[in-house]
Amino acid sequence: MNKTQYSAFLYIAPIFMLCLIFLLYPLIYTFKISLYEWNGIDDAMTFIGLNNYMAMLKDPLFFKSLSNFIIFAVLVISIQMMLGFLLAYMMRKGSGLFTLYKTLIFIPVITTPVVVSYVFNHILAYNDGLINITLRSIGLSDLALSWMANPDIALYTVIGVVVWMGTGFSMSVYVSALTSFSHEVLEASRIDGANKWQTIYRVVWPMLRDTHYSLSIIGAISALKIFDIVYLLTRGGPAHATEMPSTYMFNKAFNTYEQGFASAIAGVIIMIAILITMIQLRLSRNTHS
Amino acid sequence: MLNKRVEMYRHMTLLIIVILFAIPLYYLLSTSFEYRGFGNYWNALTKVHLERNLWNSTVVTLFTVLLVCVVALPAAFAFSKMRFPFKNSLYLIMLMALMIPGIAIAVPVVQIIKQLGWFNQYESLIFPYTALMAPFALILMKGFLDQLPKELLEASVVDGCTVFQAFLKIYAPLSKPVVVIVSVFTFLGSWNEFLFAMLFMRKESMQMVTTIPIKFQVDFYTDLPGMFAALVIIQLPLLILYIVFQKVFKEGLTAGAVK
Repeated sequence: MNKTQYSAFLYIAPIFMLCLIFLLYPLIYTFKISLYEWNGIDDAMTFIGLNNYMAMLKDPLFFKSLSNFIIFAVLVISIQMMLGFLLAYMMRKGSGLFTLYKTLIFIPVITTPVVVSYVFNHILAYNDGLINITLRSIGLSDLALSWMANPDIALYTVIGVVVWMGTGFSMSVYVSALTSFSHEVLEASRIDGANKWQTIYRVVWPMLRDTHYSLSIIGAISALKIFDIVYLLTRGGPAHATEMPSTYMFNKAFNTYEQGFASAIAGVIIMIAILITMIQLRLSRNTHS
Repeated sequence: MLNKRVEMYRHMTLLIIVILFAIPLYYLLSTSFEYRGFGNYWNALTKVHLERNLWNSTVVTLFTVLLVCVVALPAAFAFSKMRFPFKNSLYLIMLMALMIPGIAIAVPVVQIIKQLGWFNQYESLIFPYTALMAPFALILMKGFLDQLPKELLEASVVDGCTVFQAFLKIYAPLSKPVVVIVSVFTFLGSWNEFLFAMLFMRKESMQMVTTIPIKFQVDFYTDLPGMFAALVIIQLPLLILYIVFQKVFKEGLTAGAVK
């Protein structure tokens, strides 16, 4: 039974063929296009070496999209994790009501981005949106901001919407992590005189290290992949305030047809993805050994 | 006394958070019934022929789910139970494939679809979706198969089965739980996908439910309830899926997060 089984290649051939044609070949092709000047329509492609990358490094909008991405990723990941953890911890002792709560918080996770974007566009509208109507009716007109059109606020509005969509996921993961958690530990810390907050900070939170780690890796990857909800909510605007590398790349590729330049941005996105993967592999090797 | 007050604060905080989370959902649902009740839903189906787009999404989603399972399960079996050269490097390639964002390969994939002449055809979405989602399926399935004993294979080979028969008759049926998890998550991902659906399905009659609401903005310009009824219809299959497979969602999340 321990001999090499070449027939194994037949089992993995279909998945590799598909991923080769629609994933890995495009991946390499992206790097190739990034060395050309090309509009994506004509046959004419001009080789310009690293000029697209040079242009990218001089492009303030590219750096704007990168810094937006970093703010977005850090805030979304940390808020989702802390809120998800708190919700899971508060609801760790199950009752019927809590099942309903968890369901309500989880539904946004499975909600289609296009539906989310239309609902929030109407909730957040300046003149007749639900939030501003409510704020004005209770005499807080000063807080009735232009949530989507003000460049200083729009990014945080988008972050809020994404947190709404994703907290249910981290909550569910923490719920199942806490289920396998021994309750004796909690009681022991109680007996040792730790108060509620000390128990959370010093005992429960550190013991969920693996879960935090998984969630931050998943969060980093999904932040990098984010496109649809940002595109649908703001198209990266106003004035590029919510521009992400993905929306900026899309804009360059399919609106202004600078596909060479767009591919250079795509190359950077791919390299960030590879970097995150390598950090993950390195860290998981450390924790397992 | 103190404990009781703490408990009360805890419940109040929870209730406020839950209400905040539920408001957008409630707003969507209540607006969709304004003025004409179910008439809004009737309008959405008859006026803009949403059923055509629902059908498109259903076809693409079901074929993607099927194809993902068909290509991922045998591969997971090979990676879990067979010995072959380059096994680890090939698996690493699949781990890397998991991280590739669709947007980063959009430009070349458009060229590939163009060359295949697949614009406005179901294949243009089914195959790229399968490629994007199969690596995740493979990792979940391998994790599951790793827990099944290798002795099952050895014993059946001794009994005169071929390896493929052992896979088909023993391991595949035992893998049913993970196949369900993978199917549910592939369904979700494929139904909700937006970017490729927008790029490849340009003819109105071929559009997916995720891109068609952009057109609704014009059709329902003065009819917000009608628009929201259409949105609820788009959402309904996923809601049903979630209610039916609630347990699967929980297990899948745990499995996915650990991997």
